[in-house]
Amino acid sequence: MNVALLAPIATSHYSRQLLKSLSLEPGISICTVIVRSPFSINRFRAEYRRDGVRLLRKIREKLLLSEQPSTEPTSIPGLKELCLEHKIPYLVVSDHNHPRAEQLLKKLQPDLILFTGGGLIRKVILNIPSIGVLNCHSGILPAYRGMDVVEWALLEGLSNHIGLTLHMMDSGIDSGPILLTRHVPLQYQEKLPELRKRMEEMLPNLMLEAVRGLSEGKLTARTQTITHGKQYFVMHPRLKSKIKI
Amino acid sequence: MRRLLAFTLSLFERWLDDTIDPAKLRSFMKKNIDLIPAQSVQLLLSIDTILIESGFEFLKSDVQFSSALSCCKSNPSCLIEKMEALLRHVEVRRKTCFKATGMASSQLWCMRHRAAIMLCSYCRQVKDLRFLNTSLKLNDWAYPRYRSGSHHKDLPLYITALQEQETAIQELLS
Repeated sequence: MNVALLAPIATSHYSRQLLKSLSLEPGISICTVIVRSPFSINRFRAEYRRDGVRLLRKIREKLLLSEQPSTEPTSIPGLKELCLEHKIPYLVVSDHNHPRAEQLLKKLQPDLILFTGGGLIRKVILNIPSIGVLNCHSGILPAYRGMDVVEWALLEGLSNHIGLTLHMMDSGIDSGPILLTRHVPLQYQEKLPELRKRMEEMLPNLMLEAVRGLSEGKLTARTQTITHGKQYFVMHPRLKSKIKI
Repeated sequence: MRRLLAFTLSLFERWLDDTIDPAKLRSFMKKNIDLIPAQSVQLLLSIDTILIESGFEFLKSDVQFSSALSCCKSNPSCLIEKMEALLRHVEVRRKTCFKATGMASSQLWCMRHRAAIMLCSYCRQVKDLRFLNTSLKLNDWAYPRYRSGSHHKDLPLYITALQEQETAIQELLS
């Protein structure tokens, strides 16, 4: 199976771990890795409009205060290094919908695109792979679509609705057919950052499980009933302060 | 160097942060509480027409806004649809929500406050905190307009929106 990987940033732990696991997987060939450049005015403008000050916090935490790939205990190399090692075409673009990304994907014709974050994907890209574009959403679908869904589930007192859902992407927000669901039960005295970290660590394995399942033809997607859930947006700090964990 | 950059960014974050903390809100409300009465009731009545004139797609209707909502009473799914559309509009357009060319600034702010009030009362009705969330954001974005103390004729309506917000928080989250 021919697979392409879309990464939000070259240092993304999720993308690096997934790429490393995929490179060892028999029967899977990685045709390209497309990464968003961290510095783009258009991207900053669009994200600032959506996230406001939260974006600056994200930049501070992920770009400035996060540990660099080489200093991490797992020592997974950066995406570029992994691509060089395995001779995988590596492309940096300002946006995943950039014409250069589109051209490359059209040329390589992957069976599957694995999306590990980085904004919205336009229909033209979604239509390229023969199987589809896979995304792992940090919430239980169809109940919790959109942003901050872990926080929303906790605020609404539905801690049994915390988990991950692997789904095919479509033009809506987290509304595509579901492949796998993993509930993540809240542990005793666990705080939100710990829970988030635990969920993040589960992402590569779930994605890998789906790739295996699809390549062996053992996995089928089931359509979501949109009316069985709601779309959530970024949670206001006042509501966040009311979360009881 | 990275630590220094991170520290500078955190200062910048604090400067740009437009969320109203509860203490700030309390003192603001206390200062302006006498503005609430009759004026805001009158404004509330006139805003329905303004909302329709704005051409906001959710309200592209030739009927009065209030009657559009009241006709939804017999058809709950219609009301849900309209409120979801309002929620999405504000969340997606954020600070540019309801903006239509040629509209006076005061009209625009009145419309936003009316929407915030409506979102709060709907949230209390259906106990869906997403609507309170959007209302909180609308009120935060409006705060810089009034904090300097300059009196705008839409201030009573803003105070009403803040009151509604606090009532909803009290009722649903305490």
